[in-house]
Amino acid sequence: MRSIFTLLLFVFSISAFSGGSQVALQGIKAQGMGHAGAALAWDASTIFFNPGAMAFTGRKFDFTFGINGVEGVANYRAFNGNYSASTDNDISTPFNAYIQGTFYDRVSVGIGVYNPFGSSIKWEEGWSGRYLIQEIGLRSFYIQPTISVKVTEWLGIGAGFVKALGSVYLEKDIPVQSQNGMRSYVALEGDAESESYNLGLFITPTDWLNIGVSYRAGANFKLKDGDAKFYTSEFLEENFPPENKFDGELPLPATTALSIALKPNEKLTISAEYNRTEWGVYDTLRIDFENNTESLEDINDPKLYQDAYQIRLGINYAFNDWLQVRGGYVFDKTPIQANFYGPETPDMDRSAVAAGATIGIGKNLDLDLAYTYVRGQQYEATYEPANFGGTYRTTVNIASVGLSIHF
Amino acid sequence: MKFYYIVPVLFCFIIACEPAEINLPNASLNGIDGTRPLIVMDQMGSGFRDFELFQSAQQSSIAQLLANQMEVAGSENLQNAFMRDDLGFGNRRKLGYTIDCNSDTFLFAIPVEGNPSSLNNDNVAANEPLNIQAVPNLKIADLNNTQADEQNPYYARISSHETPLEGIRELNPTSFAVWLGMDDVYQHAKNGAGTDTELTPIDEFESNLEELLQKLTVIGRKGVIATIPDMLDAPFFNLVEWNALDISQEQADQLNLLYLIDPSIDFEEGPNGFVYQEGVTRNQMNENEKVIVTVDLDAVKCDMYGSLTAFEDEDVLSEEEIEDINAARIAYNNIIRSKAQKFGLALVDIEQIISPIEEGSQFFDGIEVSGEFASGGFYSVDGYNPTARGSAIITNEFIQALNERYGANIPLVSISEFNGVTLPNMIGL
Repeated sequence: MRSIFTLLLFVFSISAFSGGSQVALQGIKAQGMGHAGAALAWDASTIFFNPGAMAFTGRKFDFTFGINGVEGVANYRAFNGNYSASTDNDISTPFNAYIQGTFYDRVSVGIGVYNPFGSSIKWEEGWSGRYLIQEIGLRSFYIQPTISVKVTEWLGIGAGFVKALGSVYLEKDIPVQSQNGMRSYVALEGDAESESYNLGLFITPTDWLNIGVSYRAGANFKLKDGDAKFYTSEFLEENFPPENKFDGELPLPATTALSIALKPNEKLTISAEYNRTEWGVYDTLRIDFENNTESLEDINDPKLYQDAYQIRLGINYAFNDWLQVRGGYVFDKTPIQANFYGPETPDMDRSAVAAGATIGIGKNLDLDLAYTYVRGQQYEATYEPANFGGTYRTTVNIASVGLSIHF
Repeated sequence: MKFYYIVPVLFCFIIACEPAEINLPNASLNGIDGTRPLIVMDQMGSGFRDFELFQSAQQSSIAQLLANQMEVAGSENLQNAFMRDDLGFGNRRKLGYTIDCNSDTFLFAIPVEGNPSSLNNDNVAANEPLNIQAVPNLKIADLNNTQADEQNPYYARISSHETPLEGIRELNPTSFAVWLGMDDVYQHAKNGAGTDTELTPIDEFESNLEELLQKLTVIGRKGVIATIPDMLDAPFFNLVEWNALDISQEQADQLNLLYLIDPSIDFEEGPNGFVYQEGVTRNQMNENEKVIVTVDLDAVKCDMYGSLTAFEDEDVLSEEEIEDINAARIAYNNIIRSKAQKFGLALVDIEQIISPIEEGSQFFDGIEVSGEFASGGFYSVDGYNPTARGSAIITNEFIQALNERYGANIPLVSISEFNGVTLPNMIGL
């Protein structure tokens, strides 16, 4: 298994994460049900959704893998203006992989690898907000060894430790022109890491009801000795030292999921979930340059995110042993206030609809498919500290495929 | 069973899985008649920049940008009297390095080389109606001046009638944007309050503006006018500091000996106020007085101009001259405000825009803009007229005033499309 994970790491490092601040994509089955997964004990993706449920999957061994193709487009229109722009993002491919083994029917151990936060935004070249952001790639990569115990026939608990790795790439223009017509810009790049944990509680009092509660702690990413490269004319080198270093900090929020799943009959499962994200931790973007000059002060941009929530609903219908079809809906409340809204995260209240299927290929192999369409509500917003505002709207298409091998 | 495979596909058809467009109201002029709008501006609105009027600056001038945006909102295309090249009458300067009398290299506004087209002198009014009358040095005082075309080579290019006012009347505009009065104050100020460019008498300013607006507002035609900002904080009046005379004790002693008969003039080691001539008296500058940026810096550096010999009156704005300039500006602005009220026009209070930029810095469209010379982004190389970016900022104020007053929806200019001062590539030569 070790070699597989090494390979996956490589895939990740050459691909880009996408979407807005947080497109939830940590399991293809749950994705098809609007990601309402904390009360479902279907496969090893419980490592992410609810470690308490892992011991209830009924699987001695489960390897579940999924990969998503995410195509997001953000549109911008200036306030009271005829100027408009959109992003030119690459298709990104976040993935998730989970492996679990169950012992004595009661204890499950597993490890999961997934990308819970990230964004990759590339605005069209020369767009009007280029002095705030031209391109950004935020990636997070969580590795989570997990243990789950079936305490009684109706109660499961679980916990996982998270090693979180992250990277950031950020590029924006500097509003000066030189006589050779060269573009003046800065590129910041660095790696960060942090630790976190994940707890879960799974209760199944009757055949037709599951209750899931899961909590994933926040992570405070610390970034040390990142590269800050300034590309300006020689004339400005004293103002912007070409080879600079920076330190930074990026707090990522804790999330709590409260979920129920109903099974009115053998074929039908309905799931509903409330998911709270404590985005209030993201107060200020801090970047501390090693060399400061009169023109180059440390960055302390207020972000003032607010706690946000998601409502997730899903339905699954099992036609027979080898075919399940599902659908879901998500309402996603944005954490970003309209007066501290930067184009590096063109997020807004969004609705998503999802559809998916699981096709059994033989007894031990499932093919999972899902598709999600996310549509943002038109959002009129301004980043007041830089007096840059407009109307934003984002749409995202996500097509996903996964495999599950189980015994 | 096969039927169920198409569920996800159907689903996509139903909800139209494509990028959602942003829906905003369309641009419109609403009640403003866009058949023949007229834009009349003086030096600051014309695209005079870097000490000259030239084509690419005219294209990003306040007058032209306003015309462009009005056109987007539905007005007819307005003609501007473009120079044929980017040299104009040949006075354009750029930021670059030059060698001074001490053989030191320093950053300065150096001439842009080249041969300006002789066609730049041609009068272009005959070709088609010029509904953009954006002319450097077009004073309100000149509206009824029959010799405007002889006195002002920029006006000579567009002169079509006996007087500027006649020319405007003949255009029979259906709506208008007028920003005049700057040159009535600051031609005088920029010449160091010299006698060849006097401040326009208040009553002449009032009667000429009244006459202009009377003509423009016939049958209830709509328009916008604007006030005159305080430009004395601009780099043009502040780049050379009043006390930049930095001398040794020995030099101070010698100068004190020289000025023995002027007891009010006193030199000491370190920074000192320059000395200037006013009539028959010589005065030493104080912190309320200003050196004009066009002073001969080589003479200051090497011939002790401003100390051994006094600055000429035209190189300095004295306290008294500054008071006169400010008094005139305030009086003109009172007239402009009352005319806006009287004729029910939209009014742009330009001072409210420029003062904060000069005092600190302001963000526009994600860009920090300040009044700092060269790096601030607002003032061009001449330290007085706005860059393209500065022009875009002011243009938006005109648009907003029109939109607010008349319920129009003229789109704003995207400020980040416009640049500040172009900096040299290299340090030194």
